[in-house]
Amino acid sequence: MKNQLKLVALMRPHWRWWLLSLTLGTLTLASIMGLLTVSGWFITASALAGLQLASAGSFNYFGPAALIRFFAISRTAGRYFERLSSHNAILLLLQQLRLWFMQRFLASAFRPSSRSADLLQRLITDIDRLDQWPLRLVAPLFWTCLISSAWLVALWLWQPQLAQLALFYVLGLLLVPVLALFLGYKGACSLVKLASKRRQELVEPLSALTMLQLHQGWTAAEQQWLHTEQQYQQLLWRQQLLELSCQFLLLSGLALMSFHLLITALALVAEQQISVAALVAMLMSTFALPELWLPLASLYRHLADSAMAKQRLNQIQPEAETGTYCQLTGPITLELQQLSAAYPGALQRTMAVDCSLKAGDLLWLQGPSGVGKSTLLSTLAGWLTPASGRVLVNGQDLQLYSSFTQRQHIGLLSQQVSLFNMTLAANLRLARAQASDKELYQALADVQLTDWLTALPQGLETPLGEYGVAVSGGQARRIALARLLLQNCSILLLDEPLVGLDSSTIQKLLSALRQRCQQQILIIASHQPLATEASSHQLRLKLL
Amino acid sequence: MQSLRQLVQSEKSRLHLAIALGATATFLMIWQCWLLATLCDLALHQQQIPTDLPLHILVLWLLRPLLLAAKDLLGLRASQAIRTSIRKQLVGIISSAGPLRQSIASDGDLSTRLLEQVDALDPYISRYVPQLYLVVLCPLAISVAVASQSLLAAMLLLATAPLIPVFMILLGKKAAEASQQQVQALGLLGGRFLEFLRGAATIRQLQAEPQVLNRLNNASEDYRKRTMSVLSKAFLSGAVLELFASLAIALVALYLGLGLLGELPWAKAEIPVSYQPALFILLMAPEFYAPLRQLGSDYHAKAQAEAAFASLAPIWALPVCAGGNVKAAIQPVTISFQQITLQGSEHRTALLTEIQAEVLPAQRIGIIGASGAGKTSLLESLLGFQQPNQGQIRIGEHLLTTLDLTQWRQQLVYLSQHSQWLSGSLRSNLLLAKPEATEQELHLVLQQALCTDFVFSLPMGLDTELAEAGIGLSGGQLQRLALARALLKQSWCWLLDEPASMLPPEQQQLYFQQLRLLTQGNTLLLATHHLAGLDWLDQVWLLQQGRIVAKGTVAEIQAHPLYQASYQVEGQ
Repeated sequence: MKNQLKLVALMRPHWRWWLLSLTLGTLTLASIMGLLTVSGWFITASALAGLQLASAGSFNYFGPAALIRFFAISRTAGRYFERLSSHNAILLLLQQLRLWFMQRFLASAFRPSSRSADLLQRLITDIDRLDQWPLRLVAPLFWTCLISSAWLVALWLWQPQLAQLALFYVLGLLLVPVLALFLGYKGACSLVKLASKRRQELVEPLSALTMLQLHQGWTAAEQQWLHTEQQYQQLLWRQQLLELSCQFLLLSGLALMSFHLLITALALVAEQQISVAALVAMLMSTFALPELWLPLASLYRHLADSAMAKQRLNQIQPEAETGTYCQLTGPITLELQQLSAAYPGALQRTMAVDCSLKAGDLLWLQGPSGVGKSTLLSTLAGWLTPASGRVLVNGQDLQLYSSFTQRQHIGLLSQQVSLFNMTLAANLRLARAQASDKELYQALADVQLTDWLTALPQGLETPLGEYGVAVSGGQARRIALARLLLQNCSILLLDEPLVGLDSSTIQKLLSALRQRCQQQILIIASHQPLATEASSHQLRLKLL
Repeated sequence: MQSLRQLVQSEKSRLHLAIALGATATFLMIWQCWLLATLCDLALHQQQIPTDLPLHILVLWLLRPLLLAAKDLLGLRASQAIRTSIRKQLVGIISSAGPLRQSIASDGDLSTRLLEQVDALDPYISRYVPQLYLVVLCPLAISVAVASQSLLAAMLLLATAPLIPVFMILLGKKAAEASQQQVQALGLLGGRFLEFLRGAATIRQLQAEPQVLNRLNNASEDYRKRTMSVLSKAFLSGAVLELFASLAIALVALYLGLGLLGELPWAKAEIPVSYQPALFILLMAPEFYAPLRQLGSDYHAKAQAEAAFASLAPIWALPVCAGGNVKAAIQPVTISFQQITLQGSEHRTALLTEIQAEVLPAQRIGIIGASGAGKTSLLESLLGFQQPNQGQIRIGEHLLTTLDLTQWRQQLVYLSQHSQWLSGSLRSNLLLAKPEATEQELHLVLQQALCTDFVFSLPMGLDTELAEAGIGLSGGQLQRLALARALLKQSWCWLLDEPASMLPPEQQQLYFQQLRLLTQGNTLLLATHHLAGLDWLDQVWLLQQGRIVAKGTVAEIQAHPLYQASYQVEGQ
């Protein structure tokens, strides 16, 4: 597979923010360690100085006191700004991710239907999951390695013997997340898969609940789901145990290290090689380590989660271009030769039809609902490949044209129209960004919406959609038709555009359409019989 | 289930044990700090260190993570038990709610609530609830320990302690506000994103990709700026806490250090706290604020759980009918509706109003009316999923609500407008009605339901795989298959909801003729849009806005002005 998601590439434009939050995080964690170390050293050194009250006066406490205050402030400020900058960086990444995904989704062959709402929601969750990747995975690892090494180096400069000991422990501790990865990665991946399985096993019987209840089939379905649910919970429990064990290993490993260092250092104190103050300082510094190391226990889970999310997002691939023809000039002709259409995987196809159309023609596609009018129109729009037969546009097979050319010249108005949460003008200008207000008014007049428009106080600037003004199904369809008209396609395929309109509006709309589309081919699918004109072609589909 | 707090009641013992373990860990920590301070004090004064002292320290040091792990484990176990029981309970409610569940949400949405939203309660139960107690217990224990050594140091810590509840409230409010605003903004942005994904086909058709990406970019940018301004305030309360924690340590360290030097401004050349207790206090100081910081970072767990709980509440509130254990008649009996009123979801008008009617044994009745008149609700009321708001239904002499519903449903044939199918072969779908049916029986019912022509022209015949929800066959074919499936059951009460609406007119006639033969001797309630081909019905009820406005023979109803008016509208 090519064209994989590369998070690093998406993060690169904002590397300064990531660097800033990593630096601030380092500063914060170092301050925590510094505060503990210096205060431990300070009171012990003070006590030592206090023992010889004579020298107490000469002890310079300003330096350490200032350091303590500095660390207290830098820790607070560091944490605050680290959180701000990392959230900003994450939001920037989320923005990039969404844009990346939208671009890719639009270029894919995926056609959302009412059934795919669930899938889309899950894709969005996957995107949200990926934006946690840098903060849960990269940052903890970076901070742990950086600060632990700095600590080791400081220890080395002071007492190489102790540093050697600590190094031994740190290397051992590093094995814990590696071990967790080894033991838990597969489990974490199958947990994600099991989660979607348990969902599947609940959604499907649920959608047939009434039928299953009446046929005593529900109990069996519920049992099967419960079984999967149990499996899921067991696996989850094992994962949680693993994570807790890792946390325990890390904490007790660090405790052992601190203890070992303490005992060894005590011997050094006894030999008068180091002072007690330094010993306490070292001891206190190890107290800052658990906060640093604990996030590593769940590293493997986040790694698995983001890998799975990435894998699912990568499944949406841009559509491969089938045709290369871009030239479509001169008067348009459309020819259907024994064309039969079917959705992939459908057991039924439409009856084979023949038809020949030229610019200015109008074709009525008739037949009862369920006969395949929409399927046929989708095929004519190039969204589906013909089940058999051919579609010729200007004498060439439709598939030979590039998808860009197909969409530019063939416009399909489907039954489920999409109006977006934007103003009426913005919705219309999706078809042609530079269309003038006059053109918008004309298009709306052609679909007989002038009366509706003049009644709107905000006119073209009226917001539509969920949060905007209520639009009935018939109005929505006509707005979408006006939008499609603005695109100036050579072939217009309209699926049930006249549902819910009274006969005088239908008449006016049709004559406006004929007026507007003199150089275009117009195909209108309708399940209801309509008064037809002499000049129009008719095609009646029958149930097979 | 009324509140989030009530949810955790069933696992009280585990959670209390978890809290006890957490508190014990704090005591161990205090003890360990004391021993460490003693050790360092001995070293400072160059005295002999007893051999068992380090050993003690090591044991305590290792015991603490063990206790904390056990505490977490208990919390997780409690959470798992609670979530499993809630989930079972909810699935039970939804499954006995039948079609009623759709008044809450779509099946996909309901599944999300049952699975993900119930799981979203986890951090609240396993972490937040125990932490709520530990946040009081731990600082209290530490301050007592500190006070035993130095009142002033304890005061330094406790001076900020009264602020804890204040900050918890402030933090809570701010965090809740911030997260609410963020959720809203994210919802808006997410909504826009989802909307564009849903409208992908339109966007491709209009070649509006650049415009859409541009808009999405602007919306994200706007969202980021707004969120950042909210967060910069929300994080402040956390920062203040952090500042207190740091300052408390710094002040305690300075006070103790300067005290040891005899340099305190108000107590020159005096040592108020000697080294051993001083170190003891210093070692504990960071732990004083640790639980509160932990709670602060877990706060979103509460907000998340509250949101999840709110989404589950409507499921508990469903007026489902549990039924009783009275066996239903297995032969046709009189069905009587007595003043039945069924309310729709909150803001809608009644689905059925004071329905008063009687169906005699083996009577065949047509129910007619415009869409939305209540035909479907009337049929569904006999399935026994919903408790009527008023009135009662009697099957023979028994109330429907007292019947053993599983056994009652065994007596029913119910065909809805959109038949329901599972993915699998045609055969397995048919066998749902009668798992032990033979091949001959299958052929017979297929023939009776007029399915033989298309089923056996499929290359795989009965073994044809049906995609989810029957995709692949036409609506009319699925309607006929649903009839075949229903015929496998030996039932006397037939409830048919526009069973042939997707068949072409000439096949509809055939279907109704067949129905006439098949339902002889059985009770039939048939909801339909028109009466063509149905002159064999014993009686027809005309429904309007949830009320029966007329009862009569087919001819009488056809002559009714309301029927004629609505039929003309339909005809256009």
